[in-house]
Amino acid sequence: MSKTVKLVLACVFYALLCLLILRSKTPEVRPVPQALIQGLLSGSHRGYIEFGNEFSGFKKYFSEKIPATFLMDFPFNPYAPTIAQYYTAQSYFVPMILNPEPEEKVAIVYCTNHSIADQRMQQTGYRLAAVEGDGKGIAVKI
Amino acid sequence: MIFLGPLVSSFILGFLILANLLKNSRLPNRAMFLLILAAPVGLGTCSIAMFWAYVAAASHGKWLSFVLIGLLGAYLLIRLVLKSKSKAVQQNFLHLDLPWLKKKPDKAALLYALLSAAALILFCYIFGRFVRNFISASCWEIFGGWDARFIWNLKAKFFFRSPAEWTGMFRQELSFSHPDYPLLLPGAIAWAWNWAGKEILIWPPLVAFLFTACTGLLILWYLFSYVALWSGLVACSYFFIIGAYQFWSATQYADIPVCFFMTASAVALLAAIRAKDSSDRPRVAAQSSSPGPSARERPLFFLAGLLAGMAAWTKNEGLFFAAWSVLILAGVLFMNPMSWPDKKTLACSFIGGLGIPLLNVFYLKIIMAKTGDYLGSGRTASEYFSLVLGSGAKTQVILNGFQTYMTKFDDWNGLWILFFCALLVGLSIKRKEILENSAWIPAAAAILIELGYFAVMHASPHEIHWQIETALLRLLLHAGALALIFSFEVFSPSSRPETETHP
Repeated sequence: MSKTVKLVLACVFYALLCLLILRSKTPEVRPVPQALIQGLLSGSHRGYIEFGNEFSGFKKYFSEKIPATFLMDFPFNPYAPTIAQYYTAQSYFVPMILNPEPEEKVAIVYCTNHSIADQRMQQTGYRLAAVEGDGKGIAVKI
Repeated sequence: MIFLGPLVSSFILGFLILANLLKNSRLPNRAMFLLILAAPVGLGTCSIAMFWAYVAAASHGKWLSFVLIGLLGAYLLIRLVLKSKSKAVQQNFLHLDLPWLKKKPDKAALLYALLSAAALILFCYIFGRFVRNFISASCWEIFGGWDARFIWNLKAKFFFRSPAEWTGMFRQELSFSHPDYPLLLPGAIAWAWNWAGKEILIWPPLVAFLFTACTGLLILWYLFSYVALWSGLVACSYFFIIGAYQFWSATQYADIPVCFFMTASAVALLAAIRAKDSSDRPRVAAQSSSPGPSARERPLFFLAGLLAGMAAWTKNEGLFFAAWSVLILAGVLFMNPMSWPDKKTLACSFIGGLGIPLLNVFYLKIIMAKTGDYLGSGRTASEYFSLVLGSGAKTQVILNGFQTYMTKFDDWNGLWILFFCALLVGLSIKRKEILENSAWIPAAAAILIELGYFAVMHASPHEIHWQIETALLRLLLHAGALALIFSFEVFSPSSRPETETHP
């Protein structure tokens, strides 16, 4: 291939590339409060809430790291829109294992309201042992 | 700056590994290559060592991992010092190849310098923009995306919170977090958490940033070394404006680390071949008093294998890449005229490097987590074969998916279109050149990687549309940097002044 063709190809390529780069969208940057950055750099994590903090109320029931069932509105379905609640709870309770199946002696009940919670406990053979909010609490296997 | 300790320690470990390996290599701009690879290789090594420490000592795994990594670092340091003393210190170890600076100024050199200066300004602006965006996205989403929260960081918590119960991550109840997934990223995260004694939130996004930045800089190094500095800077700028890389880098997923290791492995293999080629030139051969060129570049082949293995220790998709890299190696050895013992030596070096992380992967998959979506799923080879070839409708859906996702401008800024144009030009006009200088390696790797995913998608246990929507874009990330390198190399004029190769 002649040198001229190579040069023309290179010129077209780099001109196109420069155009693409210069015309690329500047992403919208949401300003970050300095305190958040400081908290991250120092390790104090000021301004951040622990991941899965909504499950902190349940922690007092589990001094031993025995597996527990996590009872939701519906039987376990990985495609359910609310499934992230279970995953978040598991992440929060590591190394304790949360079983999505109703197989363990103790269960964390985490339903939308108490009527759904009652229905789910009835279906799966649990009875409520402690209340931690509407539709939420600790249940034990009957 | 709670993260400095683990960051510096992993960087030093990686630096020592690479310095030992590349001490006598003819790699151009070796210092730059070494600095770019040091932190990722260090993090990968920490992760590999941590895994074995936990396997061996469980409840004491945390401390054993510190001891193992410390001993490894000390051994590498002593080895480096002793070798340097015995062989006379390599004075130009930190040498950067800038021969155009040494030349008397002429028109070509002036043009080169001007283009490089303009490209440097462009790169600084684009990289600054990328960093600002990354910091903002990471600060507001500090726990990362879905996979980071529920797969990688969840596994890291098992390592950190209770070493005695770390095997909990492999239990079937946690099938959503894929017990059989490799552990490079969780290990790298837990390494810093163990060091700091707490789950420092800044570390996972910092690791994500390191891998993304190093991928961009690796592209810069490659094109700087084999094409031109300005070409490398433009390519690197282009990499940092690509929407998909901008978005996924801040999610802390493992896709960009795996992209880094795949790119680094292919590039190291290519550099090894070219270093060997250059040694055939009489000018360099005359300077060389060391063993034959092949033996000399053996560590680069080892490094290429190690990096391919680290890709497999990062994500299951890396296992495919490991297989493809062996195939590419076979092609490289077949196409280059070498003696049979030389070929055997180089192949053994590559396999030796590859084998270290693969040992972790196989132990994990065979002993610790025996079931998975593909390996250990109970399906036979013939079932897979019929799944791949048996469904025309599914094939059509997957092909459409590839076409749709590759041509999305907001995600790729035209990268894949450029790659296909480069393939056309490469095959039709520059074929001889590409074959001669082994520039086909990145293209072959990119095509094989995506071809593998195309086949595997047929066997996915998930609904195919859902699988395409959730995974295909990320799978394209893996080969993107290689596609970019190939495109730039094909379209660029061979303008770089002759590289000085030096031990």
